[in-house]
Amino acid sequence: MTKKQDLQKLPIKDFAKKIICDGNLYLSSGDRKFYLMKPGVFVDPVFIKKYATTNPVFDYECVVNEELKEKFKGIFRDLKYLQFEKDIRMKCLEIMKEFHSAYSKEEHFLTFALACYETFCSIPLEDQSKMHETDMHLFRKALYSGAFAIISGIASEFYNYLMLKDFFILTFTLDIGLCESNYSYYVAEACNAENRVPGSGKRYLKIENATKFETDLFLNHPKKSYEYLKKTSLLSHSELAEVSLYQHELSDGSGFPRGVIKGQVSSWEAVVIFSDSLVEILSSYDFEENVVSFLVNFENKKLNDLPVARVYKKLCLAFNYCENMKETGT
Amino acid sequence: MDRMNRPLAILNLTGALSSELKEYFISRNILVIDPLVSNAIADWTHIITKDLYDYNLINETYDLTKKDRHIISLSQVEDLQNFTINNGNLVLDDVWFKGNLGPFIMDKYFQGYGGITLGDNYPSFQELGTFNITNPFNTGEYLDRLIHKAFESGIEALTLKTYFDHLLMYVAGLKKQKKAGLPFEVTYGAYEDVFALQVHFFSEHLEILDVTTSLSSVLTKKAEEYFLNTAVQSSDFFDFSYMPSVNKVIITALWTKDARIKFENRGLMFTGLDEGLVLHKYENEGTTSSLIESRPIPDLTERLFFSTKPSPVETIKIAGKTEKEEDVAVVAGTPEVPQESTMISGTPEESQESEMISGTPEGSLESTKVPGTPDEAQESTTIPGDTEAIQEKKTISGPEENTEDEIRIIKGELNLDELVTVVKDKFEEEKSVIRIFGNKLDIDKVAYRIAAKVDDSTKESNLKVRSLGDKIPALIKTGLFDFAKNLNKPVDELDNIDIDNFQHERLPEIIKQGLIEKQNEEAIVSHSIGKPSPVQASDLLVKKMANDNDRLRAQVKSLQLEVQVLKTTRDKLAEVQQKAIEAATQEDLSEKIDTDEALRRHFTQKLKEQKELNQAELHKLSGLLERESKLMSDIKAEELKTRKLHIESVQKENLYNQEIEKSQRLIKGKDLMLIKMKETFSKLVERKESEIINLRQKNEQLSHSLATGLAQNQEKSIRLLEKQNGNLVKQLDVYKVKISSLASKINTSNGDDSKEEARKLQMLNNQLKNQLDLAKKSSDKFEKKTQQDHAQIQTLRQEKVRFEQIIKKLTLENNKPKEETIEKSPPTDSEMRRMQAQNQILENQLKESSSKMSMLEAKIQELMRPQKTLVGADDGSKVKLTQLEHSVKKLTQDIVENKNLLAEAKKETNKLRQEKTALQNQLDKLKKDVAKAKAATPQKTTRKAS
Repeated sequence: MTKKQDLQKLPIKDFAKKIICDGNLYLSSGDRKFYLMKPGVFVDPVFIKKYATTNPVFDYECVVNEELKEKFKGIFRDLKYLQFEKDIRMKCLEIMKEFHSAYSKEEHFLTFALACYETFCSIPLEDQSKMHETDMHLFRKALYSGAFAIISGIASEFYNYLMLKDFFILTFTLDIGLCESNYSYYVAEACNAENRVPGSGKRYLKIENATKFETDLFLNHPKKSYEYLKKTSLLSHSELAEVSLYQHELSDGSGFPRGVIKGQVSSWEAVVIFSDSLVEILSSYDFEENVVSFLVNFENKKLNDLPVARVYKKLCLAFNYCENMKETGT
Repeated sequence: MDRMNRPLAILNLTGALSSELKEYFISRNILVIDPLVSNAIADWTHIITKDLYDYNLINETYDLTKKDRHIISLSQVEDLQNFTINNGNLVLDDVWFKGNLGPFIMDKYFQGYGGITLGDNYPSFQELGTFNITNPFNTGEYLDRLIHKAFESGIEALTLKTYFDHLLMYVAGLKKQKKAGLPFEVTYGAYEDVFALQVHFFSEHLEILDVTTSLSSVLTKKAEEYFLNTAVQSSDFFDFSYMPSVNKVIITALWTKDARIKFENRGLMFTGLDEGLVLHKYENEGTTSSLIESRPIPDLTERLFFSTKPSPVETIKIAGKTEKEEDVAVVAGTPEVPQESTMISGTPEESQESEMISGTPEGSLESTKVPGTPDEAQESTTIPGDTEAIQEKKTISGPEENTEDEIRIIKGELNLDELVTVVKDKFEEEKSVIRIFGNKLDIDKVAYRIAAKVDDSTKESNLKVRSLGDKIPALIKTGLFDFAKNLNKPVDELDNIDIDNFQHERLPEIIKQGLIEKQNEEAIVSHSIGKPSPVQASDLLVKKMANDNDRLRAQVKSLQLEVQVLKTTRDKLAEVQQKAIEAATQEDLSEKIDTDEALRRHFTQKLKEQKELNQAELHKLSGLLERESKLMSDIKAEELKTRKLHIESVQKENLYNQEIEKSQRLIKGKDLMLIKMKETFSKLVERKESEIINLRQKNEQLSHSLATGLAQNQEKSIRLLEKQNGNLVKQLDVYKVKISSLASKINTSNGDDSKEEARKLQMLNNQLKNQLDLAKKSSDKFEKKTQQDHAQIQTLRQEKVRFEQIIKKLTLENNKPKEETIEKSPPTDSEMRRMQAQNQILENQLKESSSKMSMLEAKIQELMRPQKTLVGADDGSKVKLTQLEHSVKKLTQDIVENKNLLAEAKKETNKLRQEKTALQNQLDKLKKDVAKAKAATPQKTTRKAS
């Protein structure tokens, strides 16, 4: 819990330019703090406008390391303009090392997530708002999954800037198909259940007596996300949109919507699926302050069987390498 | 490329299968029928073939494409394009079954398992490295590391490099056609003595044509036509799988260290993986990462080697030059024999003595030259791979920009002299080494030498002459034969001046001719892309085939000539040998031998007698021994030389015979195709001729009629015209009559219209009348009902009045009413008041309804009145009609309202009835009370009275 002395009083108008809040916001009422927003929550411009005019005072705890964020952004920018594969590879290794070193020091994951967001996110603001309006947690999940996609993409030897950008957009919009009026707590929980144990999402909805609309939304959201990506042409490599259809596939091919067995999932698809399964929609995000140990100790039943195993292995391999480098001082 | 789901039934057209393959089929319970042994017929899924060139016939005979049957070839396939077009999808030599890989590949082929990762396809392989390609032109470091790993695994890494480059360009080509998507994921690994490289990528709408178009076995300027073919030829086994369910292509290539798998035994597989069975669980994957790979790539030039195995390599070493100055020229030929090489060096004088045959220790040592150094690479200009690389570069760099310039150069308009000078100067240096025994010209060497120099000189001038590639030597060779023919000289007796003249005069023409022919060929190809008519296409095809045929014939001719030359050389050698023997048996020698023999006898005699020899005798004896030993060594050397020459000639003969046989096979195939084409064309020609005949006949008839019957025709036409005229006049009359009748009709039409309208109005009127009648009836009903209600109300009122009177009477009668009656009387009064009020309301309602009824009646009467006047009234009838409609609407509305009122009235009457009964009951009660009271009052009165 945030200590009182760590908080700083800020008028809300200071947040006017922020799309994503880079810290916790508390409304003061005497000694009592009312928790308002957690880091990563999309700050609705309407909200900002409203409170900016009334000008109340909020207690604010910043968690983002601006310096580190700018450093990551700078490396991403360099990566964009590099020509030769060795230089590109070395730059990617630099990102990996920087990530490992920063997150061994308990930096907040939002720093990296925001750097990725500000570098790679080209999704229209209205679609982001739609996600936020549907569920704040959904937006946060998208933000963090996108950041995980960048780091696991690099670990899986995808060094191309545009390819990484596509990974971010793909992961961010993987659940955009859920943003409808029929979205409910049950649908979110079904998605989480599906991520934990493939095939359990539909079962969960049945047990909870979910409505037909909720079940339909759950079963069709991969298709809707795919259609959104095809329609908006946000991706540099449009064929990558296919992965939206694999997000809830089962290893034996009995998943939905298509039934793709594990032998047919490529590494780039596995990167997106893996990053998506790291974050649950409604959970508390323990990884925010110790992301490296979270990743190293991550356990998921999916990993035993699905092709994401090779992506995870490569990520661990890269972390081990960084750890060894750190120990040897090179 | 689709996997079949029906039971396997294989037709074996190879005659006899190898024991290993037989065992395989037996162990897997697969039905294999040999038509020579059994007449059994089944729904064949596969057909096994061997040593076939053209697969069209098999396709036609067994309906392969229609019935989804596939060809398995157990021998090398020369024309992969033809093979794959005709549903061929597996090439696997018998040799593969001697190891474990053959049965494994067969299982994979028949069971159709596989997946995206290397482990899915070849589960036992250990991952050695992975990388992802996001830009096909940016793979340098990854490829270098791959090659390094291949070297480490002991694989011929250069073929792997060739494979990868060509495959990548093929996939890039697919990407350009939007049939492949990035990234291309690459995995490589090894298992025992096998190295595997796998590439997979997303590919939408891939068709068999996309594969076959790049499988051409002919090297042309358009590298994209043979990218895949080169890739296939560069691997030991090539596996192309397509997953239609997820639109992914997986291409795996295998290289083995097994010495039994040779170039001619390489395998190939095209499969469709619909369901993608997966066997393993990723134990071997994700264990490597290029991200953390920081080891430097060492210079592995030392690892480059030529095969030291005995091979059909012709090596002729001519002494006179130092080892460093030795030159290597690789014999340009078909891509299948890239290892054939000829080493030429030294002076002609020594060449006769220092010819060596490869396979001998010396020869093999001499022939193991390393083709990697820049100088040598420049010299060995006719290596197919090199040409490909140049062509590839050209393809990448852009279209043919310099062709016109080249033609101009060749024509002599540009710097032709420069080209010739360069070629000549370079050739001058080597001219001395091109002669064999008897100062005869080695045509092959000359041709290849000149070709190499042309190639080399054009490399410097950046000319496209080099695009002719391996055609140049053949062109030059043919040109030399023609040149010699013109000079009336045998080709091998051309002197240096002749060769100079040939270079100056004929060479540019030959190259020009070659370029023009090539352009024509390309034009044919490009024309065929633009969908010409079938006749044009077949014409072009026939021309092309005829050209090919001529070329092959020329080749055969030249080979036969070479064989002849070789035979004559052999004969001459035999003659020389004979002469040598004869010379050895000449008198001097015999005399010498006789004296030597006499000496030998003398010495043996002396040794027997004296047991010792003096100094002079010893000297003589040693001289004798020396002479003998020299003679012996000379004989041995001669024998060795003749043996070598014999072996060489035999080898050459065999080689040429093979070549001839091959060319003859090709010619036979081409001849067959030509015959077929001729047949079809003869049919076409026949058809066309018959058409022409018909047309001619028609033409003749027309001309005949024109010539003879002009007057008759004119009369006929006049008659026809008159007839037409008459008809037209008649038509005119008819139309006139029609017009007049129409005019009269128009006059009367106004009256008719009004009548019709009146009729319509009458009908409407009738309908309205009916409606009014109905309304009347219903209103009558309502009236009756209201009357009844009225009567009821009247009776009720009367009764009420009666009751009131009774009550009054009773009250009058009872001066002292009881408390109870007093208590109850007020409610009766109030009720009476309420009832009166209700009655009043009902009366009002009745009045209203009656007034409405009267209004309705009045309206009906009003309606009836105008209806009477409607008939015959033309003006304003429509307006009235609308009025009528409105009034009908109003009436119906009123009726509805009345109905509602009536219902309400009914309700009221019901209520009143109930109240009436209630009142009646009250009244009865009161009466009873009154009666009781009456019964009680006399007593009291009596008491009072008493």
